[in-house]
Amino acid sequence: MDNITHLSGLTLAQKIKTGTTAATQAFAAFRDKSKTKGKELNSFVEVYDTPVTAQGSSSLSGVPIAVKDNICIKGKRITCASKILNTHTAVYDATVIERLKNAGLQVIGTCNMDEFAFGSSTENSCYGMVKNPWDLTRIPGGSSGGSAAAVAARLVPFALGSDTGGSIRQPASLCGVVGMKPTYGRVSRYGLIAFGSSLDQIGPITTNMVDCAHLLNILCGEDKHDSTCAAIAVPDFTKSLCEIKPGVRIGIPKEYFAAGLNAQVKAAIDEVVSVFKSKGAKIIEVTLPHTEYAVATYYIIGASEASSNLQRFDGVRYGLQVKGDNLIDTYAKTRGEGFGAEAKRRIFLGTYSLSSGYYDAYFVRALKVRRLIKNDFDQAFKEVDVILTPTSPTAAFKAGEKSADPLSMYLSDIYTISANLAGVPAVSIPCGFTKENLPIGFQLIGKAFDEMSLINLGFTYQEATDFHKKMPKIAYE
Amino acid sequence: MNDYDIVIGLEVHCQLKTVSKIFCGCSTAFENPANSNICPVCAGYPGVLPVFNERALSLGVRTSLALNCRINDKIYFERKNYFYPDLPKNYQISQFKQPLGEKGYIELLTGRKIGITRVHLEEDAGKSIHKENYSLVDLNRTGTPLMEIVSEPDMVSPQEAYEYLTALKMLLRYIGVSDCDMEKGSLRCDANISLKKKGEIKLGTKVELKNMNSFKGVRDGLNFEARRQEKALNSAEKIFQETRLWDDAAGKTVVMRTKEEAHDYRYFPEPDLLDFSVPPALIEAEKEKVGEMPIAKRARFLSQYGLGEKEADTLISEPEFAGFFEAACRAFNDPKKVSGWFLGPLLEQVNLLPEKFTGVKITPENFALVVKYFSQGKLNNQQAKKVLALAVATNDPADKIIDREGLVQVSNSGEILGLAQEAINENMKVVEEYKAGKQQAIMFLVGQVMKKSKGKANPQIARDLLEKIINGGNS
Amino acid sequence: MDDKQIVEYVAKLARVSLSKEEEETIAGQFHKILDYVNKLKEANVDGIEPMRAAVPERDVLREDKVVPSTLKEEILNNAPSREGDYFKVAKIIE
Repeated sequence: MDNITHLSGLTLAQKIKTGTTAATQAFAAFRDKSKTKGKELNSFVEVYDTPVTAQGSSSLSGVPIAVKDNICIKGKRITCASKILNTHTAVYDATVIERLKNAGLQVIGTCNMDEFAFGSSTENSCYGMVKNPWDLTRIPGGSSGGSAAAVAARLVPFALGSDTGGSIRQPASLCGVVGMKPTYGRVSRYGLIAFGSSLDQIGPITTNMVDCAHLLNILCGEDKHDSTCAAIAVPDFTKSLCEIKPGVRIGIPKEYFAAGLNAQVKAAIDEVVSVFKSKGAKIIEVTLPHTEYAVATYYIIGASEASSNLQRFDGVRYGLQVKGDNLIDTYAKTRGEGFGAEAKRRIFLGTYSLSSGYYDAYFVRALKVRRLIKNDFDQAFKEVDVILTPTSPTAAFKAGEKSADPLSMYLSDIYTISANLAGVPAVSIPCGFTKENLPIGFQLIGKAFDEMSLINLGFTYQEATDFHKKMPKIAYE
Repeated sequence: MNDYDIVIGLEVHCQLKTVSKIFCGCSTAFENPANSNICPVCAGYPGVLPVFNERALSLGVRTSLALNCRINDKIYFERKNYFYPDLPKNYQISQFKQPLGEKGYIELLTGRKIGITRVHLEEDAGKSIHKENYSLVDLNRTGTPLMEIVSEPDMVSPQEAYEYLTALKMLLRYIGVSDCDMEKGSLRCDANISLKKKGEIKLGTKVELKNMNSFKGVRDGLNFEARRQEKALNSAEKIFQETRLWDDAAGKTVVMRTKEEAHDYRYFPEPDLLDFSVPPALIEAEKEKVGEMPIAKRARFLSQYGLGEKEADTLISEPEFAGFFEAACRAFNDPKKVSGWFLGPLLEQVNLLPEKFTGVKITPENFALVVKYFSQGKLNNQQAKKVLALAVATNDPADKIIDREGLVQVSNSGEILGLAQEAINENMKVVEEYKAGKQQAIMFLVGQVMKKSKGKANPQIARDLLEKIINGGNS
Repeated sequence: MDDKQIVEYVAKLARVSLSKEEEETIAGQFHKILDYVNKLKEANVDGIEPMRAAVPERDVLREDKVVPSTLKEEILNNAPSREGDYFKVAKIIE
């Protein structure tokens, strides 16, 4: 008998629909695996004994799903992996949680992450780091490392992550799973504990493109609680789960293939290009000239918005309170003790960038360069339909390797960051393994609101390859 | 203040009359138990987002129009970042670089024009109660829509500041955007004041004044501060750019304790809200609602209705007064009488109602009818007043009350004659006094006739008949 | 301002207390990060409008209607310090 936890989400849903498998049985299987294996990987903050669910129906009804620890689930402890929210119980459901419930999915628990989504390795969690299921001495990527690890290890068929500079795509790539950041404005941010308000998006982490499309159908749509959520019609993403038509134009940006790109990763990407070529795609070199400024731009904007978003954590209405001599002292001690090192660094960078005397030189300038980066994409998309790049310059690195040097950690986001700045959708898809058997992923970046093309190309690729079917040893135990 | 010019600017915050808060659906009704009108959004919970109340935009546009401002066709909000327990997100969503309205003016009753620098929208903070060594925070008020109106430093005296506030309050109540009640907190005022040597162009060091809780308090605070600064300047003392609090009980201004480092608010555009357009259609719609401004109405009342200045002042002082008055005149075209009965007997009755004019149920038409009946002699003064008293809170039709209470004025000489004769017979001494030249004495006799007729007699006719009998008896 | 002064100033603004070690570590890291982001000075931004939003512009307005507040107890229950219906905080010095 096939291990139920090895089934794709859609297959499991179909079994539940036909009655072959009971939804409760499915939940129990994943829950138990999550509680044991999840402990080894430290991928969960909390695994629920009974699911958070509701009556509802969709193509994925009954399937368990895990949710990153920064998405509010009413009545549940939601902490952003931070000491400062250790006692916070969410008092409302995020819109995406309502959508999952209305679709009949079963929320199984919350996934470990980098504190407040600040990080690219999930080493910044107050619960300790998450381990990469493919090599327990390595990091899974971040900040949605817990979500990606859980899916890769088949502790759960799919999970939600959040992506501000690559936090879904990069861990997906490092863990050998699919991770998509939808267009900014596709998915409601109401209930997502904010990091970079103009950059954040919630997105699916799945084992395959088919599940990704089905889950996307459930997540996307206008929300009256979120003014930045677009009022654009949501297509049926599953309609693009078919072969691409010959002539699709794929752009290869030369700036993404410069020095610093690991040779094995480059080789894997070259293979990807061959696959698409064989399907009749046209490969065109494009240029995204302002790529070199992307990391700096992102860090200033993201940190600035975050520094303001995090001001509300002051020990007055929820979370940790450390009593001081007076009010100001209480604020300072609470936040001093409650925030981890990376959170403090971001708050400092952001506060500084917005402060008087520096606002124009840093924040405003970053917003202008942001427009230059967006313009680069607009230009490129005049010549091509999608852009293909590596997701990460390297495969998973060893725990501790970059944590002493924040800047080197920031630079590992170099390929994913621009999509958040431009607001366009992007997906990471498994495309091979290094000699050390570590996953490699490639990224497809699309025009705004054109997730259909990404799904179309991703599906085509996965029909022709089987990297996404490979599982780490821990998934079998 | 012979050697110095006083320069005053006022910053007014007023709460807009919306039923829900500016960025969430919580009620703005106050006087509820603490923390009962709150939700995750206005309580600054993790993961929440603001959504802008369209009525706050409309009322803001209406105000900007009434204040003759240039209205920006696109506006956006900014975050003003600072830590305070009654500010749950520890930033206030406000406007900075691109306010709703700019460069306007308001005309005072004195005819002076005071410039309005800007009008912008923002969210209100909550309230705190200070105990011995801790404070309590109530977030009910957090998120109430506020309009900030900043004047140019055009006011030249504390009295003028008072007049500005009076004119602004009247204007804002007129256009229906705010109740502007300083006691209820729907209007707050901070002032900036500096002195400069007469004739000098360069402005002096300005001092910010806070904690004034009434228009009078503003005037008193500014008076004190002006004199303090004059004294200081005359003794070559330095005026510090600081914030001072008006201590109403002590009658002086004091420096705010714990002068914190100047706030660096780190304004930046609110990323959770998109830009908002202010389309011509909205401006046109709000222009209609602005209607006639108090100053213009006053001038019209003087010319159209031939009213005196004091009468006009009172009638325009509240938009409800003016509206009622004009509707009554339409029903009975005698402005002088209508005005007299409105300002006298009706307002007397209004003052007895707990909700004052809001408790008035009598319609202008019903009111006008009473005035008409008095005018025609159908009711005498007492009777008309009685009808008003009974109709003001019920709007029972005048005719019904008159029938029910039997309040028709008796003007039939025949009926009154007998009563007049009785009054004379019973009060011979008074009659003698009248005959002896004491004119006033007749009023006593008229009073007696009124008593006997249970208030129904037409007093003028009674008087005529009494005089006729008394004098006639002589001939 | 030197690195240490910057860190002190920002710590005050952001209401985050740091230990002596943290101050030193952050000062050094901050310096490096600032050096890196200063790279943006090289970009030519003449005539470029700041990009504030990543979504197509549209007016998102809400009807002025009351939505009943039902979460008072849940919200107050999360408070670290509470007195009756109020949030309790250390004395606010005015």
